[in-house]
Amino acid sequence: MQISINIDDPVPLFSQLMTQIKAAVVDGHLNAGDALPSIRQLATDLQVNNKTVAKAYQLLERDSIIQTKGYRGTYIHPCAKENCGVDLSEEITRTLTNTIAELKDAGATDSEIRIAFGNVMNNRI
Amino acid sequence: MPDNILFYLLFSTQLILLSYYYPSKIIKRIRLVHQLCPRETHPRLYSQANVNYDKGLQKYRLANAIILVLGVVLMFFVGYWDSQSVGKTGEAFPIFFGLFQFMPFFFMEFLGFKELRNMRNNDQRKIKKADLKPRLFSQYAPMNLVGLTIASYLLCIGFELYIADSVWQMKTLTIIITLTLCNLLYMGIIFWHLHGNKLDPYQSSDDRRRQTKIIIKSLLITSIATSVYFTGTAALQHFQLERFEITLNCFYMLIIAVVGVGFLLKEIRVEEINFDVYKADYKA
Repeated sequence: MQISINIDDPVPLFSQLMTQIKAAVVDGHLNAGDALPSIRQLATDLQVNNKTVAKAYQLLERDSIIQTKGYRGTYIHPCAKENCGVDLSEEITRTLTNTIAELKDAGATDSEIRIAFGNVMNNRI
Repeated sequence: MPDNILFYLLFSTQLILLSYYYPSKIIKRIRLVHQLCPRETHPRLYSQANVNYDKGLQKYRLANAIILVLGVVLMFFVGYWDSQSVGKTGEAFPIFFGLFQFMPFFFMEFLGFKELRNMRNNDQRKIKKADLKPRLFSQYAPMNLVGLTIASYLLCIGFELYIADSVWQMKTLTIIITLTLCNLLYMGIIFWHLHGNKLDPYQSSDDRRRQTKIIIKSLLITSIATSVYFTGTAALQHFQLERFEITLNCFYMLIIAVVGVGFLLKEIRVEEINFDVYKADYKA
């Protein structure tokens, strides 16, 4: 199983990596318990920064697509196939849309919502 | 003093193998690859003009020819020295001459690295590929050979300590440190092959996997040979058979040549290498 990235693609490299690993899980090329290359190996082979691969692995681990077992390495999560169907960004968009709609119904203006959102994100409240 | 015919037999074999047979095979192989994959169809394989490759091969052939002649002259000189009984030939002579014989191989390696660096610099592809499988030592090295390597290393240390009556003498310590450093070097090369940068940007992953396996196997055998050599040297000194040391050194150099060059030439076959990756329009 090979993975490829296009360095000219506007899609960020870590995102390309995530998409392909998820696709490999869905297609059955990668199964639960399969070992993945180390961050260093993948970064060296793809000639990208270690941080790029680390970010992709971190986000995949957050989504329970992969799991890191300390020094033993990184493996495909037992529930990876099911978790691939969960799109967190879609969930975030839906929740925010509902929340903004509620706030607007309550009479909040766009700028008030933006300022409040910025404050919450920057931990200023 | 090399008072046995075995030394001359082994040293002539060393001379022929390292300065004639293997260099000829290497030159023949390079010419075959150039013939099978000409510049017109496989432009990625060539990073410089053909004349440069020819010059490199000529220098390589010339260097080996000079070393071969020098080796023959030296062998006759040692024979004469031996027959006159006017002195003692240094035991390390075959080793030092062997290292000298390896010089053209190092030169070729250096040219190879330069060639691969040019290939990497010329690589304009925007799509980068990688295997989604970890390269683990256990998958690349035959475990029985690893076991044998460790056993021979431990046996060598055990034997050194046995003949030194378990006393940590300077000589024993030096041998153990040297052997350990040799093995650390082999481990470093293995690690570099497993986890280092891909030198040939176009090499297919199957070829890389196969070649890495062969190189690791060759290094493990070299490590065993080194341990056996150290044990043998210690045994000869312990049983006061120092006169055979020069023969053992010669035999060791021969093993290194066979494993380090012959084994790789035999196992890495041209017909098994995927040369399509060097075609201009190749898409994996």
